[in-house]
Amino acid sequence: MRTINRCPDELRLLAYLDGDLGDGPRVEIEKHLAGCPECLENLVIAKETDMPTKKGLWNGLIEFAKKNRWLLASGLSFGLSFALPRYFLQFLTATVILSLKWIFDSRATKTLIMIHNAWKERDNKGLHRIMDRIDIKK
Amino acid sequence: MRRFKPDPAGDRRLVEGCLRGEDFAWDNFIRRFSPLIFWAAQKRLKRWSIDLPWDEIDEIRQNLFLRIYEKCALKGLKKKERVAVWLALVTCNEVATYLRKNKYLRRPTPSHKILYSESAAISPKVSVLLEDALAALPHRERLIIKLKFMEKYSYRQISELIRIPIGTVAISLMRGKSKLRKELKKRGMEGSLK
Repeated sequence: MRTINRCPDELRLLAYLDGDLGDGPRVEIEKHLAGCPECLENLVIAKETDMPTKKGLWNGLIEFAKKNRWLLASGLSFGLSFALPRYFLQFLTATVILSLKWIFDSRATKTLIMIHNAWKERDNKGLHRIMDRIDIKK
Repeated sequence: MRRFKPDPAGDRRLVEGCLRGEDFAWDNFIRRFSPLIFWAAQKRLKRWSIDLPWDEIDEIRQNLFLRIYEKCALKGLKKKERVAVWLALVTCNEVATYLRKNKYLRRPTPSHKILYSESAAISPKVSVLLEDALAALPHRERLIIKLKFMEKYSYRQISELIRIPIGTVAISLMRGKSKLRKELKKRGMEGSLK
């Protein structure tokens, strides 16, 4: 149903969205998307329809617990330090270790560390400016 | 799009029913996906800042269903449960075809104007310069810059779409921006990037 032959058809874009294409065709589509605003916008609109189906409460809870396991563990350890006053310090140390693990395991921190490492390699000038949005002044 | 609830298993059954030619399957198909098609068509039109009357959008919808029916387009769909996403893509293309046919749309609109819409008016010359500078970037960095600044995607959304790790997205974006800055300098727009 495409009018412009150069553009990939809908089935191909869908396969791209679902990750069903091999590396070669994926790169081809990405090259096209980088240069064709119409196809990119179509893909973005289609992606919006692609909402995840509702999860049950139980599955949601399990996923939440898995995601925040270090935070939950440190909370538990903090609670136990009060429940078992004999091992107060031991549990408090465990709390500190577990919460540090939580902080360094989080995706945001990992990203920050990676960005920092990438930028240590080059000049530090303009690091803060880079973080800003691209803005044009004439 | 509140009226449209995702239901992959139901969609699959519906499409298979249509392909077998079951009674009412096609009617149900039209009833289920009409709101989605209206929604996608309006999204597509909004991005081109074109306002079409309701009856013309309805005409697009009817043409679309007719074409899908006549061409047996559903047969080509391998993943039947993904019919909603496929329909959204088809709708976007159908809208573009309609607009071109009726001379609403003469040439592709420079959608990158969204990129600098926040910094007041930008002359067409600058817009051409920016597009030119973007074209000099590697395709992945260009794609990531466009997704980030035009579509306002988050790092996570970009990494889900392109299927690369989130750290790679951040680094590609950094590299892309610094390359873009160099390209703009080359074109005599020194100091224009904040």
